[in-house]
Amino acid sequence: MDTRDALETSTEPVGGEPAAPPAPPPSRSLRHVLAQAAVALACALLGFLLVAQVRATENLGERLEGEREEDLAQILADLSAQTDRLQSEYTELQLTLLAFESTAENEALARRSLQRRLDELRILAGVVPAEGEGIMVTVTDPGRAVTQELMVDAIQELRDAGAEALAVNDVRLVASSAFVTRNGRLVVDGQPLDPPYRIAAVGPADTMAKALEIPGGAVDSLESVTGVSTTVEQRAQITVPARAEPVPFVFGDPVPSDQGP
Amino acid sequence: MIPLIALLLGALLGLVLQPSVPGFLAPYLPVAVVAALDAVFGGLRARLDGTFSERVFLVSFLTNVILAVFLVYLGDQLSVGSELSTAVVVVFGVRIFQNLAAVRRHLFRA
Repeated sequence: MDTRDALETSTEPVGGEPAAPPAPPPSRSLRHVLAQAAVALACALLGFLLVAQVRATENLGERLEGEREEDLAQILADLSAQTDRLQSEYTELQLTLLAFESTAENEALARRSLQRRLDELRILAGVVPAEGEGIMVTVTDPGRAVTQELMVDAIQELRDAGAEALAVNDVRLVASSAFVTRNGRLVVDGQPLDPPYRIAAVGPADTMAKALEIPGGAVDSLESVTGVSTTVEQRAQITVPARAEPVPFVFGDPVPSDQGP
Repeated sequence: MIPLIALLLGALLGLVLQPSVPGFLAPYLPVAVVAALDAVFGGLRARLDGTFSERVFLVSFLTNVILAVFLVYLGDQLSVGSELSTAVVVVFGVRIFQNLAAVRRHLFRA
């Protein structure tokens, strides 16, 4: 018990004190009541101060008000360091986010451009049907008088005018397509053609129609043949079918290039 | 019983009045509260020992609080205020634990 008496004076409330008289004389009863009132007052004061202190601790502003200067400096330094750390973390995350965003954007761009390129090549190769603005040329030729040269001329004229996808009697024309004449019948890529020949072309309708109808052009040449008549019809929507089977590549290989597609 | 009711009444009063601690008192209120707590627990123990005296309790209460506040004030003047308030809280904390242990032995006989 001696160790905890170091701070105390002789007012130790616990031990070592003589007990209060168990039954005070009646003349001291008033003092006794007063003493009890003082004890109660002290206890009430403690409760009051306890609540005040708890409230002050809960309130950050009041708590800071009560701190000593060196403690305030320490708190400020801690908070500054924390702010710096969080700020740099924020910046880092922001950079990461930007990097991810730009990567995603680039990938989306690249994917879109590749998809577009793939679509164009598919149309060129004729492996997919194509649709869009275009014209339909109908060549009526009951006597089968139209030669392969005339047909090739008409096709070339259309390509020159910007045709992107072509078909004759629903046979898709591609880069390797060829017209030949066999036993008096026009044959394209092995498919015999019977009149009337219907040439479907996806492309700038107005330009292609004008290109066919210029004096001395494809229409004039075709109609100079006996019994042949042509109609050119512009359409807002025309569909060209896909090629029945893709062209096999056996001999050709792409030459590698350093640049990407 | 009366002191306990008074304690609760004081706490209730604090809750109702919502006092704010003035700035110059703020460093001293915590140690004052801890010192007063020590006096109250000491009184509780003395009561259970059968040695409680109002005079001793009041003197102990006042001197505990005044001494604790004075020590911390002195520490502030010597710029060891926070260390000394820690010391005061530790000393009173140990005493409160000892008093509570004595109270426990009385109440639970263990």
